[in-house]
Amino acid sequence: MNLLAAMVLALASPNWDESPYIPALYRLPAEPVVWGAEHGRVLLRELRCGSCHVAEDSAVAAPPPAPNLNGLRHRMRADNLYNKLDPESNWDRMPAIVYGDDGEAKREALTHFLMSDDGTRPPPAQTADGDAIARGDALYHSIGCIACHEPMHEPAPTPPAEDDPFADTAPLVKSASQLDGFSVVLRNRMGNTDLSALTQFLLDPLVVIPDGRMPSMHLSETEARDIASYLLRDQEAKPSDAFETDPEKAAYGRQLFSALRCSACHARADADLPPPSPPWEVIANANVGDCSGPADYGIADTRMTEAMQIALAEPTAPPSIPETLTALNCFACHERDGLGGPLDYRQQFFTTTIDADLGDEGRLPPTLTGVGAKLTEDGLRGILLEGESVRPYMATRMPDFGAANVAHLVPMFLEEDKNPDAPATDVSGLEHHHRNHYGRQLMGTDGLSCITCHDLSGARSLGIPAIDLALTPGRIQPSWFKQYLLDPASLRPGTRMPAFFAEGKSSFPGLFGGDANKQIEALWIYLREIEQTRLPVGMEDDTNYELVPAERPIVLRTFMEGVGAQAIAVGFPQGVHVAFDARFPRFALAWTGKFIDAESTWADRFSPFAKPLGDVFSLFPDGPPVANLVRADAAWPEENVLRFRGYTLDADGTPAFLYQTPEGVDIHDRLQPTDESHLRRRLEAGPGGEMLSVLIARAPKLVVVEDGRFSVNGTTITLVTGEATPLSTGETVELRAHLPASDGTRSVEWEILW
Amino acid sequence: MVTAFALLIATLAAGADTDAYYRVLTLPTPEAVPFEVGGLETLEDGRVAAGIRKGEVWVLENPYADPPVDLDYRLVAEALHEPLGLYRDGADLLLAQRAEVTRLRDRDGDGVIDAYLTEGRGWGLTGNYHEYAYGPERDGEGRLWVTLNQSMGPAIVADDAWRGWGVVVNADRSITPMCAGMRSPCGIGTNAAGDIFFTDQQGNWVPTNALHQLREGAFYGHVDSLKHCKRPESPIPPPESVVADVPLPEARARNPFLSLPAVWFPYRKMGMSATDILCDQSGGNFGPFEGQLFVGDFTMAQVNRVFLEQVGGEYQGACFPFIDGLQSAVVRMAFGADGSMFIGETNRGWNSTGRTSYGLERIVWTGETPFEILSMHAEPDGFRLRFTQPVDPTTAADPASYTMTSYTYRYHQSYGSEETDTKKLMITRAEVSEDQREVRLHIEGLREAYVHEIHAQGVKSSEGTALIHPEAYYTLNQIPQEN
Repeated sequence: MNLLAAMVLALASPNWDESPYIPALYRLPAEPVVWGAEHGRVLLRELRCGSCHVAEDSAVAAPPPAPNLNGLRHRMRADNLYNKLDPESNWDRMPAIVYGDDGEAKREALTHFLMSDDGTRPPPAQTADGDAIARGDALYHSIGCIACHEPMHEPAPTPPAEDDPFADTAPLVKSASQLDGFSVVLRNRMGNTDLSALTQFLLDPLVVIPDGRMPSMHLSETEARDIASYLLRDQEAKPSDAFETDPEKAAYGRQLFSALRCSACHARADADLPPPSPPWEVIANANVGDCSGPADYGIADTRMTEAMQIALAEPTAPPSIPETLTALNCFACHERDGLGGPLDYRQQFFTTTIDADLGDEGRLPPTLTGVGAKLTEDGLRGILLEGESVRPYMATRMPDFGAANVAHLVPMFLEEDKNPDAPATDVSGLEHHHRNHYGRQLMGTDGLSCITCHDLSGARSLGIPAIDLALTPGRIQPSWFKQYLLDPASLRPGTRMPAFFAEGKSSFPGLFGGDANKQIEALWIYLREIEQTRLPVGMEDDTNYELVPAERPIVLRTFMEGVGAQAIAVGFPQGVHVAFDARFPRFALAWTGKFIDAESTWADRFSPFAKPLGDVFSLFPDGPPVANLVRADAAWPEENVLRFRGYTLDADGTPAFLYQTPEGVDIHDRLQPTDESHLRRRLEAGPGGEMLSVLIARAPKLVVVEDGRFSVNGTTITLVTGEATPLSTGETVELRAHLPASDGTRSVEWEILW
Repeated sequence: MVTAFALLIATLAAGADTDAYYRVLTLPTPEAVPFEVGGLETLEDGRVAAGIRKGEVWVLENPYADPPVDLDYRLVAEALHEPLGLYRDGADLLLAQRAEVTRLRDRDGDGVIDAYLTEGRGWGLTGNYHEYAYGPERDGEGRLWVTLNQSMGPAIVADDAWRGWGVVVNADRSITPMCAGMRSPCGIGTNAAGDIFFTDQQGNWVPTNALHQLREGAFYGHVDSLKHCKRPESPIPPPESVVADVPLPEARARNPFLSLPAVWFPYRKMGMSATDILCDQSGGNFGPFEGQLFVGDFTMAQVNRVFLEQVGGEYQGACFPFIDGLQSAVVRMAFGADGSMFIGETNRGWNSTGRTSYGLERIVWTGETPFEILSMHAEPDGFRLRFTQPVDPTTAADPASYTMTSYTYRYHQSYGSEETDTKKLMITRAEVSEDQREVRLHIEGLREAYVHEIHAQGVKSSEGTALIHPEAYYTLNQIPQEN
């Protein structure tokens, strides 16, 4: 018989009305009639038999704590409590304990004690707005409440899936009302409480129910109040503080609370501990079916008593993983090794928070089969203990069950799921130089394009928002990552994740010869270092490295096309930019528009030459800007023998370039745009016994507009200080200035307009 | 290949636990800045300056915060071309950019550099990305040294003068080429005597990582740099030929101009790409290794330790593991004012065993002395080991507590060399000194130009503890003569 069929049969015959209800007990694998030790251990624990029956080395020696009764008066009405203590009442896993002729007096006394003021503060008063019920309805039916509790209406209609794998299974449940038998039913029991108390309870249920059987759903205060409003929507308002306690009755109730062993299970600050109880062996050897007094659990389903006896006959064993998953009803949402998962009708309530089709993976909680081989210890702890959530698109929330109730699962998962056949995965990063760039290439649209579906480091994917891959190295084991990429369906049947590495060959052959192992390891290294590196192509903002001079000039020393390996580019806020060549000192390039992209200089391993981003125009003549000529009209030298000496920055950030003639005369060459079509350049020489000539422009044609003003190459040059004279050299005309020998500094300054 | 890798992983995992002796603090770096450290220097007032490869210099105002939170960084210089060094010179900083040594000066005293003055230039730069310049560093004679990475691969501009050379910067801002044959001389540093050294990285012509002394006229092995010997400024006459593809002893005999390193770092055992050199002059604030050198390793994200001695007028010595498991490739190291060691890191362009792409860490001595081999001295017929703590005389005097092998490398153009001609050596006698700090080992079969690898795995301290790192690697270029 396959497991699914076993499950269905097991579900078919519970005796709902007569026995304590443990929601997921019916999800453990079993033949239909006989339950085994596993069921028995779950029962012994859930019924807290060990609270009274001392058994030091028994697996049930430390049963989970029962509800905390401190401050009960703030969340329960006295008449409800009194009624619930009636032995005829069926109250979850609570046994009947008050019998006999004086039963009513005892119930009354217990009620007075438990309703008495124990010094706890009432919950903050809550009032709900008009839409609270509708919002609460939506939350209740989407965030996971209905995994354990009954849906209160039918799901929103969804088109039937054509490839539904359960299509040929006879549906067990066909409507919401039929789910009552598989739920901790809330209907008709909300009269116990009021809006303020229920809101407070929902905000942190572990305070009241420390065993995690009602976990925290990570609700905000508004969400808690909305759900409480919804659950209380039909409730008649009744003041909860109308009851006045009688001190005498309360004192008697306090005695009873200890004598009847209530305090063995329940915490209550002002109660005494219970008297000793019979040792475990006495019970173990007795007929468990006799659990009829003093605490009567009303077990009518004989499978339960039989299972408990089988469990008691077996050697001590800590709770197995399935036992814990059963007790906490993890199986309501998760499947593991063929057990559990949302019942097919219930499945319809599991939705996504967004309007994007992520398939079942986007709405159903993931399988726990092999989860200890998938998640790291940190990953497991994050989810179980630290409230970590990695699937923002999934409406259902992973609850907080309380560390005390689930921490033991972490080592158990890791140990039990250990996969000896996991593929060897080298995450040392040693295999490849410049390693994270390979992973980056694979991740981007120029590689395997993972970012088409996956978010990355908070950046949105190009398509559906599948899980953020930056979370991977922290929570996923490398060998699982590799195995998953090699064959996604083997680990997540039905996944939409494509097989990029079918048969061990990458679908992107352009890297490492398509070697799947190397590519997957490169992806891992990239993800591990994502915070310190760049987003992939396709996701990264293309302007990431563009330098935009806004208020001050920007200087970038770089390899640069049109200049050489020793370029110093200067971008000005005016939108005019220049590059200086430090090897052969001169302004070498000018352009307008965008300045430069620093990516090749700052981030690329191979440092390709940067390019000006705007329109290059001719502004500077070839050759050295300064020369020591034999005669003022001698040919301008082609060789640049000037020596670069650095630059200084003005207060506004404009660099003044420094260079030296072979004779040791210092030159100070500063250029600054005044607007988008104007610049001013000043060239100053230190003292020297030789005349120095300055080459201002060279062109086929030069027009003297007026004294000190020239039209050259479509630009107008105006001398500001000093003089300049055109000199025809045959094919071209040069505009030269001459700085005579001097004991002090000498300079020439001119403006260029274009 | 798979086996080799498994072996490597095993080696990495076997890293010794130094936590009780040295705390490693990870320093947060400025947000959104790729803090790829290429230069690191402690300023006169104890603040720490870091040059990053993007071309900026940052000053960490409160480097000693412990725990390292609320660190205060200040950007003081920018627009530098891949600076790979940082040297404090009075109130200025000096650093090598790709094309020159630059003096960074704050003229107006506002804490931000406003003059980027050429301190020295004259080497070539073709535009190939390997053409890094490292340094500068001043030696005991006041000479300012820069080492120049060999150009590898295509040149964009025909300008490759002095690539693969060590040069010194002159007062007139020119350079003087000094020595040749470097491949990737990523680290420069002086020892306590002021002699200056550089590290080179395994690859073509470099059989494994090495520590060499920088000396005028020396040739360290990488043949591509020899073309510049034809330049008139070269202190090295162009060799007629180079005999290659032979073991080191033969290479040395047949190429008299070939200089062997003071220390070889056996590949993988002692790192995979040596970087910075830092002399412990912390006055004992960093533990028992005063006067020794620390050498960073890029790929293995670790720091090694070097002991040097002079034999026949030449440096040689041993290397030891010091600390591993750092977060990223170790590129630069500097001692802080308190004797703690700052580590500047970046993986960019290559790879490391680290977990992060870049960062800054600080290593603080806890005050507990680790039980280590402090030094390893060559003797005419063996070695003398000195320990950081007294040894247990019984185990230390037992020759079976030690194993030794020796091997050499091949000098060839191929990328790296396997260990070759490996032999196990017989330890005939072990004598413990009176103060129980030293053991004199008598060994048969010492070989010159071989690495002598010792494992003192059986030696216990007088308190019964094992050595943190039982291994040491002595580069025996010369066997000392009897006095």
